[in-house]
Amino acid sequence: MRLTRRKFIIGSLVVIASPIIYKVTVPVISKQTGLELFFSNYKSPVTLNNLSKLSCSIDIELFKANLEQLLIKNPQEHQWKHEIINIIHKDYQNAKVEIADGWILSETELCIELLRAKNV
Amino acid sequence: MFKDLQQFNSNQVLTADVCIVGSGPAGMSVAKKLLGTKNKVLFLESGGEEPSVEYNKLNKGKNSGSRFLSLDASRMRCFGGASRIWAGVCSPFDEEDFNSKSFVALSGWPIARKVLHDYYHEAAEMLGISYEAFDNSDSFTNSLNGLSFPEFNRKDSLLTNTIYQHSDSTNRNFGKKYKKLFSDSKNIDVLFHATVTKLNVAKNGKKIQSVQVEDLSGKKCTINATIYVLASGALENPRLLLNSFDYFSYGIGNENGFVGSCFMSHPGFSAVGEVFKTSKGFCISNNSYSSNLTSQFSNSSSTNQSLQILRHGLDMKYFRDLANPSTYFSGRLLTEYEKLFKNFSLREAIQKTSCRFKGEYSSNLWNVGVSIEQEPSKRNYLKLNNSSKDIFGVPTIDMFWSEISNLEKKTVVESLKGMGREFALSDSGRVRLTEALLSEEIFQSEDSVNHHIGTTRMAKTSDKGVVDKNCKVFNLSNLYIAGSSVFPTSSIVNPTFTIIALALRLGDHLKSELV
Repeated sequence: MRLTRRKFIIGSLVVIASPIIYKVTVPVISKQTGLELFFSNYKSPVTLNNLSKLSCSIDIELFKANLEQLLIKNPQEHQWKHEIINIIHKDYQNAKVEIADGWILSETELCIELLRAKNV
Repeated sequence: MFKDLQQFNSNQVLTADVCIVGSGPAGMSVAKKLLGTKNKVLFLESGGEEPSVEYNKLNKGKNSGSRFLSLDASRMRCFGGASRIWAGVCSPFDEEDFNSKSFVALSGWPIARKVLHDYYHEAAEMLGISYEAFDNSDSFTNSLNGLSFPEFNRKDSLLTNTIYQHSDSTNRNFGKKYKKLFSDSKNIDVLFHATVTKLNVAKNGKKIQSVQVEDLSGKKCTINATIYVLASGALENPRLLLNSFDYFSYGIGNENGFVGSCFMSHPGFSAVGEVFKTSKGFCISNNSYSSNLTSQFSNSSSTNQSLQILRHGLDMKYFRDLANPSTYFSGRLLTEYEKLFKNFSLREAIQKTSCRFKGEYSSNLWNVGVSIEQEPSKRNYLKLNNSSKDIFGVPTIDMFWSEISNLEKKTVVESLKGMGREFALSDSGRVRLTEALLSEEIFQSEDSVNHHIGTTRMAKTSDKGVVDKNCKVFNLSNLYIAGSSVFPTSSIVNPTFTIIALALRLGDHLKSELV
């Protein structure tokens, strides 16, 4: 197989650009930026009004710490999404639900929204 | 044979083996069991063969409670009684209804559900419906609700789908259906215009000696029978017992104050929740389900038990949005503009319109209504209004239907929570409670269901009720009661199907007593 100048340049560009693209498009969630990245990627199931008047049954600081731990253990988006969905699913199965602004939400869903309001 | 009190001389004494008071679904079912037997039966009807305004005036009364109950709706003084006006909606009580619940003080029946099994079959035949069709396994393929929410048809679903069948007008109107059967009967005389005004207790206080009947012209007769069956409805049965105070000053069967108390209905609250479906929409054809079947979602029996809530039914109504032509003519553009425009999606509108062209429908927005079982409570009762009497001098009814209790309110909210959980678990939508429910304003709304239940309740012992497991009044050897007044709990399904089943059972019991 002959290595042409065109193939050499394209190949070199791919090798050089790949780690840069990977670094930019696939965020590695660190403890410092984990929550912000989480909130920018986690889609709320409903829109809540009057968040300042709402509260969840779990201590919000404890919830925050647990969530950060979860994000450290599961840094990839598909990993933490899977974990969060499972937790929310269990909430619904075990009747751990709250009424917030009329919406029926799981405890975890509501805590996420309250934490989002506090952090964003 | 059909007879009329007007044919008899005043103060005449009529005799019979059995005297049945009231020819509605309960009385008719008891009487039907006694057709063709050797026993002479006098079947008393306050009104005539057809309804008349004069006799229905006897149903008037007043409301003193915080909730209003129409005392003359759902009642009819004529042959067939309420069977002439009911909607024919049938569903059997569930086993859950018969069980005692730790969180409901007066719950539990002294009989098990299986005792009524054969009688439900018989009642279904009378009403021209299929008892087998109540099997819930088909509820998702046969009912509109089931087809509209196939996502709930999961193995671990939190919701069940209760099936209701509709008896058609030829079968549900017992006045017409059984007219010939009774007019031709040799052992049963139907006596029209015979309004019972008083039951007389024998001198020993252990049985009923006679009943007094009158017509509007002032004619009075006395009926002496071996056995008496009161089947005049859950408002009139206690009224008669309370007005028969010559021997027992507190009224017949009322030693423990249960006559007239523990009144129950099925309060219904519309638009308490909104469903926002997120799963893919689809068209539903009106031909794809049996129009004879309707259904209601509810939380499962085990969920009710674990959450400590009463039985309930969740009614789904699809929201008529901008894709629905009626929206533009109804004025809802002004009153509900926010909801209509906020949730508008062109893609869905196109889909809905294409469905509609095919005569089908599709909706992603639904309103939820809840109807609930009431807890038996002495807070809800009726008594005699001695300052207001009917033409016969019998005091009219004073109804004290109290506000919705905390347990009943909890049932409404928790039932919606259950539905919200199921939507989330099946990843098919979200549920939001309406402002009217959150503010509890909805609990002030008037009731239009008009089911009358529980005023002469069945119990194991006389300290908890009025009649025993055979519907016999405690401590009286020959007085029985038929109808929904004997139900200790109200379930959530319409009462008539169970009224008939229970009355058929009573009919069999009386036959065995009379042998």
